Amino acid sequence: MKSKLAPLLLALALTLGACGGDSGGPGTVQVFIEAEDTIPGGLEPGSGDENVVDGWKVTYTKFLVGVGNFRAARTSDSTDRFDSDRVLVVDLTKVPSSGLILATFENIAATRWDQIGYDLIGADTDSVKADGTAQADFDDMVNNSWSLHVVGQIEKAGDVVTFDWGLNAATAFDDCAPPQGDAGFAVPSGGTVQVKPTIHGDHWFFTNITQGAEITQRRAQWIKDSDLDSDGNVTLDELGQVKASDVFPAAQYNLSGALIPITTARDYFVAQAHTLGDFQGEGECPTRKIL
Amino acid sequence: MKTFNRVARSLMPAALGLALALALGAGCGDTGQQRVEFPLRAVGNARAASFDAFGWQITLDRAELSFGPLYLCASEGASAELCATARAEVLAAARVDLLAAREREIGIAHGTSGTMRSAMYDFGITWTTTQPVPTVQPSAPGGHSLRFEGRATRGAQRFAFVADVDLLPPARGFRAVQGRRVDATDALDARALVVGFDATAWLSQIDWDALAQLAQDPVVITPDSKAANAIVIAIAASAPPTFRFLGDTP
Amino acid sequence: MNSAAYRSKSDPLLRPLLALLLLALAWPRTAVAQPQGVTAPLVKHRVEAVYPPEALATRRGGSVVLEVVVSAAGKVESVRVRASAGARFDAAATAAVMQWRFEPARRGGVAVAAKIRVPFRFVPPAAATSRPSSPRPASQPASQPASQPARQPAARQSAARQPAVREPARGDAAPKRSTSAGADDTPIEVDVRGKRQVRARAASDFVFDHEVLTIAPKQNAADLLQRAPGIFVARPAGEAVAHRIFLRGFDADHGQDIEIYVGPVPINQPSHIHGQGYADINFVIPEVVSTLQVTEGVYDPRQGDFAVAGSARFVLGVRERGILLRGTYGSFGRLRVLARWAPEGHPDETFAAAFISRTDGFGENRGALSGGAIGQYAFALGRWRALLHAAAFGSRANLAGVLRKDDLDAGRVGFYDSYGDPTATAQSALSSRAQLALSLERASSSGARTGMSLWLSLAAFRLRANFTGYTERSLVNPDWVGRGDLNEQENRHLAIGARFYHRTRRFAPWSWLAGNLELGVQLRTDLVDQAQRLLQAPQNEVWDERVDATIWGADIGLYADLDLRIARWVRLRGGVRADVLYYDVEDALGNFIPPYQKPNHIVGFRRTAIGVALGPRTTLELEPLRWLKVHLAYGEGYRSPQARQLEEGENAPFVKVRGADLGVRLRLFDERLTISAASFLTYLSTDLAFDAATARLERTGRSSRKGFVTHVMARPWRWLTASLSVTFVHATLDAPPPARPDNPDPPFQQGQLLPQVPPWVVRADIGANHRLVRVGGGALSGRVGIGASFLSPRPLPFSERADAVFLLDASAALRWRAFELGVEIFNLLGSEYAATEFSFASHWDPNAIPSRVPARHIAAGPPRRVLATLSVRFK
Repeated sequence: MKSKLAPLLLALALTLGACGGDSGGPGTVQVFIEAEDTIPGGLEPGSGDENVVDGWKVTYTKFLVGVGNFRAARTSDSTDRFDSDRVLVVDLTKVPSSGLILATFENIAATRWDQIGYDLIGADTDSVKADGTAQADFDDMVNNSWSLHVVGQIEKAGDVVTFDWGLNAATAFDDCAPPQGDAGFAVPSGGTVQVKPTIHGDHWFFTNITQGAEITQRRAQWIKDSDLDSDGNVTLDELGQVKASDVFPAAQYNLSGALIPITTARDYFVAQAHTLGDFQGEGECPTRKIL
Repeated sequence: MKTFNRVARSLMPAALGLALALALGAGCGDTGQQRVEFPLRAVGNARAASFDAFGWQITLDRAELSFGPLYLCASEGASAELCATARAEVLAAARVDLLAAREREIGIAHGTSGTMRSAMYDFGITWTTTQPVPTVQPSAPGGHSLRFEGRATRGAQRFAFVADVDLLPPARGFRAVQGRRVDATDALDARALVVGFDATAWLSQIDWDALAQLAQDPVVITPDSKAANAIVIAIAASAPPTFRFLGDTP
Repeated sequence: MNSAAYRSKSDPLLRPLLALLLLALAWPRTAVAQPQGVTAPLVKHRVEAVYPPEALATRRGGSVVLEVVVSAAGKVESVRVRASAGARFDAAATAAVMQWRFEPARRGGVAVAAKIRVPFRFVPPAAATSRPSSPRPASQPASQPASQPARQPAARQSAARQPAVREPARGDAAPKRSTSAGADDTPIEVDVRGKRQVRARAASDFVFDHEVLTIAPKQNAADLLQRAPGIFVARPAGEAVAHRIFLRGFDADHGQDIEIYVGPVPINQPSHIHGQGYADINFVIPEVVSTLQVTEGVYDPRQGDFAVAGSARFVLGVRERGILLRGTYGSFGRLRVLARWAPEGHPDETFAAAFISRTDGFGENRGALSGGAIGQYAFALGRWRALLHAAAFGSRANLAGVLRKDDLDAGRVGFYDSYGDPTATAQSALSSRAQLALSLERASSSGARTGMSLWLSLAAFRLRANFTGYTERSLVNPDWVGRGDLNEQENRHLAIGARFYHRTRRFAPWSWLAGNLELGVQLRTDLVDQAQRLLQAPQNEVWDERVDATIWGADIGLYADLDLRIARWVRLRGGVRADVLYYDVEDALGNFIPPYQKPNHIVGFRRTAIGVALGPRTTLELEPLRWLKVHLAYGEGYRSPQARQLEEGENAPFVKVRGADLGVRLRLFDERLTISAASFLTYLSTDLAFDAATARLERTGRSSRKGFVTHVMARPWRWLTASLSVTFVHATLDAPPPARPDNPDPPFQQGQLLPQVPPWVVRADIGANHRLVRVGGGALSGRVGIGASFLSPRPLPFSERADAVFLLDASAALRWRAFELGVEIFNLLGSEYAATEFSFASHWDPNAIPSRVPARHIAAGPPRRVLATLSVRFK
């Protein structure tokens, strides 16, 4: 009797114990801020697709941005979202090699989150200074409410033109997608996904306002041509006095698709500053809004 | 007979299931989106017939452009890669009289329902993926994207001018203008799309003083000149055409 | 008298079909309409049972009823005690009957295995009277009266006499005639093999044997698959590409929703580049398929990966022994030559067959050539029955691709044409397959079964298809654009797997409860090498690389299946299945560095993922009346994903399926009429849809399918078979598809229909097979069949509907002695229909401005084809 019951009980236990588990528990999202290689590394002259074709070499000594307000939602459930209001002020030429974490979210549903966004935003007193960023630079950003502060130079055959541009080009970037595949990212259950908004640093050397893939040329001559007083330094005011049609010949440039009208060289720079936010390296965040 | 009754009774659940399923599903529903169509209308600016540009009085006798093909896209970055599938399109390029103040229908947009957020378009010169060089469409005035004819006067100085401007796609498979954001509108709700062109803003970008110094009459502005460049940047970047979707209340 | 061995001394080379059918039936099983025309086995040689000495001493007697399986060779294959009189009597009776020899049962003149009951009555010496048993019928020349050994009293045995042939009961039917006390000849019941073993899992299990499968015309294995209710098979892309199978609201683009087995080998290929679960059954030769088992729904713990809509299993075997040579010639230059050899004296599973087939194609650019062979060998290995299976296949076909509907309507291209561009005419497909399997099974007399199988398969696939024309731009060099979107997809797959299972003997702790338990392990390892490139025709220069990956995956499944019979009319089958899935993906193009970016890393991205898919599968079956069965079933299944799309560390690398079924099955008029009806619900956590831009299946949202399927099968006379099946399904998308960069908020309405799924699928088949006249020494028999399929207008994207599809196939054949001449007409009405319809944006005219709005595209279905077949059979 006992031997007859045993398999029956075992079988019943197996059947009843089957709970039909689903995809498992939630996961963690870690948001890193990544600087495109052109920021610490600059741009080289040359004829390749990644070079500056009119012979200028570009280097940055400072590249500060205010970045934050990361948010995520999903089309499959519009009520579910998570976000953070942390804003980081970071000098992208001095990002620590271990990476820079903007925010960490735990207990996130293990599904695909396909409506991702973040801001490049003006610094204020609530902003956090990133490790490695100089205090003085941070104070500059906060006091002026700048979202972007770049300092660098272009150089060709001994001719050097420097620039120091700080401004508020606050932009919200949304609908970010990796270079291939569906928008957003998927959270693995019980695991961590690393998500990397990437700040690009060479957009004002592009010959167009890129929307999708960065199929463009890089040119720097317009900066030299905007040095109205030939003092080897170009200020934002000088850029504001240069007509766009003078330094951006139609044979080389296509300025359509900007968020603001472009009449002067400064407008061009600001318009390109509104496109710096990318995702997972070369992925785009095409939905942009001026804040 | 008894067997038949029993059979009938036992078939009842299946029959009910059948009826239920029929009620649920017969002819019910579709796949959700629909094909849509709405007219495309163009309007110029009658003020362009005669206006003031930094002291110069510009009088236009002729101002025409070719507009199209036009694609309206779901993403905000309408471009070859981000708009492989468009929400709506007008494939033919049409001639537009920039001096007309009244709207004129220049085409029908065909598409599918869904939000449109940006547009990409050409001005009569297309460079598709399969063409080795850009192709000029038949509606292009004089074989160019735009043509202006008119006179400029400032005090005693006066000259006539003729301008041909080309908006060339930058590379094969691109459009002349990409990523032009429009007000997000569902194609299903759009009754018409009105595109407005303001030639005054474009011509105001020209350095008329420099043209006067050429001491020509008429001044011929060729597509590769600085003045044409100014018009191109104005059309593409500083004063692009306005897009207005008309809803149910026209 | 010497005591007999328990073991059957039958020739190890002769294995009855029943045993192997038992092996194949570790699977869902069901009863099926019984073909008529069966004669029972006749006893040729009988051996006396030895009265157990202990019982003799205590003057005990008893009655033992044995269930004996008689092989097609007339030897006793196995013995099971149905009514026990104690271990010693059972042993004595078993020992005796093992040595009996029979004239085997015959169906239609062909020897088959059979199961019969033989009662033994051991009468104790006090009541013993030596009465010789009296074999009555004169048709048993070899039977002898029971003799009485000198030393031992007579053991009364019943004589075997020619029983009346009657239809077998399904399930545990009681014998039709009871033994009257004192009668010493008890009629033997005859059940034609295997049918009494089959148990329905749900009202949606169907087993189609060879006769049913050959009713309507068939050209390939996919036509056989259409016999199952609700299945419609289309072949939009030629012979070298897998079929498109519609079942229960699932549009299995290339089989990804149906788990398909051919023999012991699973055919679905995980993570296939064209679509995960790609199942190409073109290699199955219909002339060697003996049974097709279709299980709709996922309620059996034995169903594994890709059993979303259900499972189908082709059981191979050849009933007609001898050599068959068959040649077919017909429309569009179709030529097929088949040779099949099924040696005499061997079971049905032993055969070898090979074929070559070519066609010019029914329109432009559709020529194809394929060839293949399948062989099996069934033999005994000690106490095990073994089956060795090998198959090989290769096929190359040109593909016509799809056409834009507006081009068709404007007359720019004909319905059966292909676009003339080199990038369209270069479309082709090549597929090849080789597989090897060894199965072993042992059935013990207590009813326990143990089995294992090992299999190995190699499959190669290369598809060149251009759906979109000239829209793509190279990622490697953006200057390269407009060279034609000829996608080359390459998939090389090596799979090794094994299955082990053990079914316990029946246990009955209480009188009202009995059951058995089956435990099994199914494991497989897959190595997939896949790539996708863009080619420029006609020299097929590579101008872009899209995919380059190697995937190492494994699926280890464990299941437990408990089969309980509670009281007489309740049967509960329940089980649980757990599968561990793991993947190691080497994505050689991952972290791709675009040309306009400075290289700062090495390209390549490796990802790993592991997870467990666990789910119960239960069926409750009520049998309130002998001819009525009601089923209720619930099951949770899974489908493995496209491994390349997994995130690193993903813990649930699969799609979850949940289904429920409620159905009835009626067997009326002596099983001449079978009616089954079931309503079903299926929920999928992520569905797939074909994306023409990538020429692959891509993820979409959650989906659900609700519907019902009805199947009626009638066999009013022995020579006429008819079947009708109607399926209705309401398939909806329940969540929007994932956002993509070019479509950040895909428009979605709750409850919108899933495109491509036809709401109504109706299939009707009628076949008649009858002897006509006797001509010149042989019987001339004729066979006619008609098959009709109807698909209601399928919903297409953007609220459009495809046209309804109605297809009629007819066949007729005359057979005289060794020759058979047949004519098959497919698509008799010559309807011009689209095998598939899509909606996507394409650009085919290089001189026109491209349209980017999705347009309808069709792939033409074949027009009327007439095929003549000549077959020669000889032993």
